[in-house]
Amino acid sequence: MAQNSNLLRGTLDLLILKALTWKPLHGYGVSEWISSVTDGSLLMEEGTLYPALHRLQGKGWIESEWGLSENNRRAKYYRLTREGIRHLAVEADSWVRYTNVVARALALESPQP
Amino acid sequence: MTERPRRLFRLPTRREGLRDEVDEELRFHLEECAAKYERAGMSPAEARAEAERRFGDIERVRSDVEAMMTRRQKAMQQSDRIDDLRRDVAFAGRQILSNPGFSSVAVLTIAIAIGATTAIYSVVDGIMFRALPFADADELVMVWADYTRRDVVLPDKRREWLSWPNFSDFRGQVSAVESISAFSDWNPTLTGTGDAQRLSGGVFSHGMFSDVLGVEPALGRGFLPEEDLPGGPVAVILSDGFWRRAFAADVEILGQVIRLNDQPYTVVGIMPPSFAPPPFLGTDAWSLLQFDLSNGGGRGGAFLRAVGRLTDPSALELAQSQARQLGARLEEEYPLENIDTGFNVYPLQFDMVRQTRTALWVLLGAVGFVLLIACVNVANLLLARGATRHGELAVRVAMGAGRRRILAQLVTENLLLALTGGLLGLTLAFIGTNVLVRLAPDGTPLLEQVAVDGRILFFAALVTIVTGALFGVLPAVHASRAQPAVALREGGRGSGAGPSSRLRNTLVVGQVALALMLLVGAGLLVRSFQNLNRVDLGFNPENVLATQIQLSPVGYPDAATRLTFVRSLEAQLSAVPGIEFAGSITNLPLAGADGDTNFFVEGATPPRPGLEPSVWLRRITPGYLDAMGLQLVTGRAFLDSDDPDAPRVIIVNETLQRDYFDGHAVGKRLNVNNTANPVWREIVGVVRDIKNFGVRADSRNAMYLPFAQAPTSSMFTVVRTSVEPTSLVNVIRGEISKLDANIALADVQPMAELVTASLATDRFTTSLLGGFASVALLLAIVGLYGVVSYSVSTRLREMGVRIALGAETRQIRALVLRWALALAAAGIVIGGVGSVAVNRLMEGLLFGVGTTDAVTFGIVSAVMASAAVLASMIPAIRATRVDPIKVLKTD
Repeated sequence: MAQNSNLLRGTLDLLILKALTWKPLHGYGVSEWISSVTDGSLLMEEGTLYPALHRLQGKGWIESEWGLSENNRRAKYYRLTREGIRHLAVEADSWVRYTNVVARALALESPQP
Repeated sequence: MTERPRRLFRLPTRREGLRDEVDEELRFHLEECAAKYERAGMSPAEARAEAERRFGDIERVRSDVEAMMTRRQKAMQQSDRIDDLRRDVAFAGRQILSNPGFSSVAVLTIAIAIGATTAIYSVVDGIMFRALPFADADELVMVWADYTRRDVVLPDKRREWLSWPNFSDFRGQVSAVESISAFSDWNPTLTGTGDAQRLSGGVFSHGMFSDVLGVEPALGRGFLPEEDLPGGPVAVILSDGFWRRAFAADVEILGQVIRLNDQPYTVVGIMPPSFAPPPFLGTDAWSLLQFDLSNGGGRGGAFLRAVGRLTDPSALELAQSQARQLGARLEEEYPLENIDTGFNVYPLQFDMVRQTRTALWVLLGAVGFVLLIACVNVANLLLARGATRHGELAVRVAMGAGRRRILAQLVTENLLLALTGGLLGLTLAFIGTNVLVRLAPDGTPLLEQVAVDGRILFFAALVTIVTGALFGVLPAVHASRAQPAVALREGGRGSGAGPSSRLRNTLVVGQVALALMLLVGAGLLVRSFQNLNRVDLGFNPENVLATQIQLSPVGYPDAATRLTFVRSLEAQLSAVPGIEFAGSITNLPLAGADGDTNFFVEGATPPRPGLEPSVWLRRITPGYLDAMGLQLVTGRAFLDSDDPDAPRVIIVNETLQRDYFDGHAVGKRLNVNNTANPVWREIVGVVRDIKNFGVRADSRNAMYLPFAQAPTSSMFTVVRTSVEPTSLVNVIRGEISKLDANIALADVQPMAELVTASLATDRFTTSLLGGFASVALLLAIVGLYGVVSYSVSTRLREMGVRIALGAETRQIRALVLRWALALAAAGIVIGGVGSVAVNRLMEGLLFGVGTTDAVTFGIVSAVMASAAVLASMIPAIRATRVDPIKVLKTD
């Protein structure tokens, strides 16, 4: 599957933010959630998740804190910030509108709608 | 530790810490992942391999993440630093504004120091140090005749004029001077192009422009050697400014003939606009001397000055010694004319600025003093202030502020103060330089070269700012070293004694001493200036107007026509209402010497030829004595009947009567000039001595001949008015034009203004030094106030105890006053000794007052002592208001 890397990055960012909507997760947790909801088609290399996490942190959309995992191991947990929530709402909305427009265009069978 | 608390407390993160964090996070992911695959049935090795495969390039991810974290960390630190700085600046601003008295004094002190230093130095640099605007200007020299061995009164015996033959020998025989040109004043009247106008110019022997100054006309050509030969073509070169003014920059003027003094001159060249002629060459037009030896230009007729160019800048001494040898040879060869005559060779710039030189050095010294005093003041202010903030600093140290943070805070505060002062000082420097240039006396050489000097501005700013930063930080260093507990227990009173208080005392004593020295210098100049203004000139310049008249040789070819003109003009002027008397003289007094004349007395042993006494000589019309207010002592004034047909008569001054006629001159006869065939003239009157050469110079032998018996073509007409003299300026010009419209109208100047102008340099120096001394006094008062007030604030407890024990208000006040006076007295003594040592340099500037004038020293010391009392007044009052109960309770 040939992926536009910008498109992919935007999609990945959006999904990371979505993953953190319900509760704070560690990196592995985020990767599991994305794999499960995308059938593993988006995150081809799980490692690329980590630069993305730090990028989002730099933008102030998420923040991190060390905590304990389900099996009592030290793990770094990420949580949405107030700004992250606002950003996700805006981006998700425009993403939906964008994909709808593109999908409608691709579904056309004659040059005029 | 997690990120949030670390941010909150601003704790540093080391690089290894970052790497560990990244490792741990990635390891966690891989292990969780591998565990999942094991649960799904893979062997541990397979599970691990699968996890790593799915993860991708671990190393790249690790380094990417690490780089991102480092970047974020750095950005945070930077924003922390910017926050700190912003906080420091804001805090400093609040501190400065919260204490406006202290702050404005400090800022003003710095501003004045920078402004005054820069302005004065810029002027001095422009005039004395910046090279003249000519190529290799350090090779240019001025050549003079040296009369120092002659027993005569002259304005400057080292700088007398040269005769053509002596100049000619110098040109031929002093090989260290590569080229030389003799010059003379030339102020021709231009006619034939609108109103007649008088030009300022010069005539010189060939080579002045091309060889000596190294300048060429921008249009046309330079002079040709044959144009300098008697009878050769007569050429003139114009300045760019005059060409634009008089001929509207018309190129066609080149090659045309213009009329100067009614003679035809061919315009051959126009100088470039950048050409700044030295002041002695005038500003408008130049021509060649065409010196004719057969025309009576003997070795004795000295009317030339000369500028030369050395073969090399280092050849000055060689030129001087060659000139000395030549002088000795000529003296031997021509004992008649050249007895006691030598040559002097001086660098041109040194020569041009000789009159303002001492004054400029004194001002430069004064400004250095002011800079020093200002720095001391800033230091003292900041030290005192720092000490009062001991408590505040101790609290901040106790609260955990690091030494670096406290230092940074104080440096910020002081830099802010210093920079504000510096900015203000910069403005003052520009304003001050312009004001100085405007105030400088007319004719101050090289004034056009003056510009604000960047180097000195930088230097002055650096000195004051470093002083500010240094002395502002000293208390901080002190405070951060101190045990906060101790400082706090002292209740923020700081430690009164100790090294910093001794330093303050020393500084303030030095400051008082410097200020006293400046005050003494200014006081001496003021006294000297008073003396100058009180000098009896011998005539009365009030209500007198004078104007120069130049008659053209064509319109007035002989004595009769000139005499007729002068008589009609004086008659016309006398008829003007408001004019009481009108008279004329060949050249005004105070204007310097114009060619001395020899004389000898009838019946006395004839002097050796060449050693006849010399005399200051003027020709006057009968109305002159009344017009100028020059009193007749005995005998009679000239009459209209003393005309060319009448017997030769003469009026002498009191000095001449005393020295040569034993007090009884009237009726005696003497001969003027013409040693070989004496023409005996009878002395008919004796007038008072006048200041021939200026207010400072001694009076000397003077004689007056009747203008009618040898009328000249150039003269000054003088009128005494009964009304405000300036109201008649245009009337006088009108009367002259009515008589002859071709006469160039010169300025009609009040005589009193000329007298004032002759004192312009003295006034300039006196007022400037006076200004500096006032500033210094003010700074010293501020300094004393600062130190005394601080010492009172540290001794409040002692004062309280004294009051509690029954000390009276008077006693407390006396205690503080004594303290201030002790400091001032030390400063006064040191400053007094310093003054005696330094003021000798001022000798040349003073008139009628010694450099150790007791009156000046007395007054100045009293002023300084009063200043000390004034400065301690407020602290003294504060000391008496101490409430003993309060002070004693606080501990």
